[in-house]
Amino acid sequence: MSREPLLPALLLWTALALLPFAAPAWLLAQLAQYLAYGLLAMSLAYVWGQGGLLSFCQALFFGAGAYAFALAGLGRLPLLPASPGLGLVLAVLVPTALALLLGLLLVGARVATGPAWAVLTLVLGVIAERLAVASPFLGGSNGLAGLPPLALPLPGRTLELLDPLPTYLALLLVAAAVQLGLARAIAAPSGSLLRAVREDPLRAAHLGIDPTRARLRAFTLAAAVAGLGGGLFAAQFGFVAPPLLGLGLSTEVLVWVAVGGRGSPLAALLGAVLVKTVEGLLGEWLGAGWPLALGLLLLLVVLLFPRGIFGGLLARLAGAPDP
Amino acid sequence: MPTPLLELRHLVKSFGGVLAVAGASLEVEEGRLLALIGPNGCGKTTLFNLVTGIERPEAGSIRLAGREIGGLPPQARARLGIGRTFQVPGVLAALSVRENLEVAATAAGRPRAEVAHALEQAGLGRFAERAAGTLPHGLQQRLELAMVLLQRPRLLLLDEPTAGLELGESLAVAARLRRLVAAEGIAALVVEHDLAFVRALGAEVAVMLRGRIAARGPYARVAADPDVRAAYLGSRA
Ligand SMILES: Nc1ncnc2c1ncn2[C@@H]1O[C@H](COP(=O)(O)OP(=O)(O)OP(=O)(O)O)[C@@H](O)[C@H]1O
Ligand SMILES: [Mg+2]
Repeated sequence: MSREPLLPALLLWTALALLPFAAPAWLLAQLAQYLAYGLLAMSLAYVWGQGGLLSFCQALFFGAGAYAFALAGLGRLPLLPASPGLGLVLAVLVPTALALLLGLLLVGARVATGPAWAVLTLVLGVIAERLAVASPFLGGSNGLAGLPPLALPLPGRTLELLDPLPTYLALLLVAAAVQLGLARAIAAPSGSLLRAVREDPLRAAHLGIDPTRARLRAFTLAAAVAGLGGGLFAAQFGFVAPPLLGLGLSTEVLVWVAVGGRGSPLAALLGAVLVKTVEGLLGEWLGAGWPLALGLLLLLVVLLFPRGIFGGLLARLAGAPDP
Repeated sequence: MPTPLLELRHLVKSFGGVLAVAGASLEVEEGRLLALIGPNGCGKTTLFNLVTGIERPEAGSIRLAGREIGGLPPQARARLGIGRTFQVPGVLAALSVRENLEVAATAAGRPRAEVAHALEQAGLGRFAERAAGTLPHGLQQRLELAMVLLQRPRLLLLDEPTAGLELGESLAVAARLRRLVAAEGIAALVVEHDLAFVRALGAEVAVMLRGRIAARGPYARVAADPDVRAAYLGSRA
């Protein structure tokens, strides 16, 4: 899809902004968590759907953001003060730098397509999780706990993002801003160059586009978004652990995005919320049998909605060409 | 003599044991329309791939306006003014016709306003919002050419632009090419199997045989060359 339709996005964000008037606190807390996951989902939708790079290590950047936030929040970084605000900045910068480095190695080495790319990104996630487990600095398999919450200095007092309502509103604001920003990037001229590279890198190069650079930019931007999500996730829960980096979460986000629709970050975010919600419900109803039911459901969705449940809907609203 | 726009010297490229291009040399002057003919597998597409940078030559040199470009990636050569169409039309299948043209314009640094004009010129206005991959073959070729022209190339490489077209259509393409070269002063090298089209182009002809440029000149003279008759025309006539 070349244009994210604006109206559904604005309607959704407005509705979610009004939700605190009607919803109980536990639901807001739940949704705040899903919105952090939603940032991860949007990042994958961008790099996969727009850039054609199916990354099996997207959680690596989410986790790196979470750990960066934790380390800075706890004051464990040399020369830097303990500061959650700085942590949030680093939650974006560290994954960005990491993605640039890995991207130069992977994308630059022209493995951006084909099986080598899948295997390498998959292995990277596994390695990162193992490293975190083995590293005392990162708290080993227990991870790091007791992180200070994000604090918003308001006139007269400081608002700590501990309670569900401010946490929810903060995540809502960030998710909306990121979604609208990605929609802009997708509609911009450079967005169509990225899609050209996705469609046919060689043809794109013959038009004067540098495929490696376009992919590297997308990979890095997506990592920054995932890292932001990870940082906000850590801030909500006050703790981080190795699974946040690993293959398990990277696979989960793939499912959210496939269900929601990889063509659109908004659809992917909705996919994350939907799958997490269904997961919760199935767990209550079916006990231990829920993964099986979820698997069957996924199979159905992928077969019935190749563009994702929300992706097809949004594409129709945007009047996108049929593939 | 002025420097030729494109100057190929003793180019060599092999795949495994197959010598696809075996010491080919060719010059294309500014504003020249040149047809490149030769039997299947003689190395025409590989020669194009060497010029645009998909393949790297094992030996020989490629100069554009006197500058060696053999070490540059395809995107750099495109920006220097080499435009190319592919034997299988290289349109971006999932993108709309309009977006294909927008991509070409943006990549070449042309204003997007030129897209509307290009749509019009190529007669693709009606199909602007269709996914390019769903167009019939002939329209895809037209779109591809329109994209390449948005690049404002100095050198146009066309790989069988009439493959799959009916005679009338292919003669129209020939006329269009002639006008283009005359009006814009660009040079064009056109790979073609269809000899009716080559005659309609009214251009000079270069013949490629077993990886080499074996002859070059006006169609009538080249067609009379005994080597060419034996190896190419003889086998097809
Ligand atoms: N990528 C490749 N790998 C292996 N062999 C190749 C490759 N590309 C071309 N060849 C071989 O090189 C030779 C020249 O092929 P090329 O495609 O350049 O011929 P052509 O003149 O364009 O033929 P046609 O008229 O059929 O398009 C052929 O023998 C072909 O099989
Ligand atoms: Mg060929």
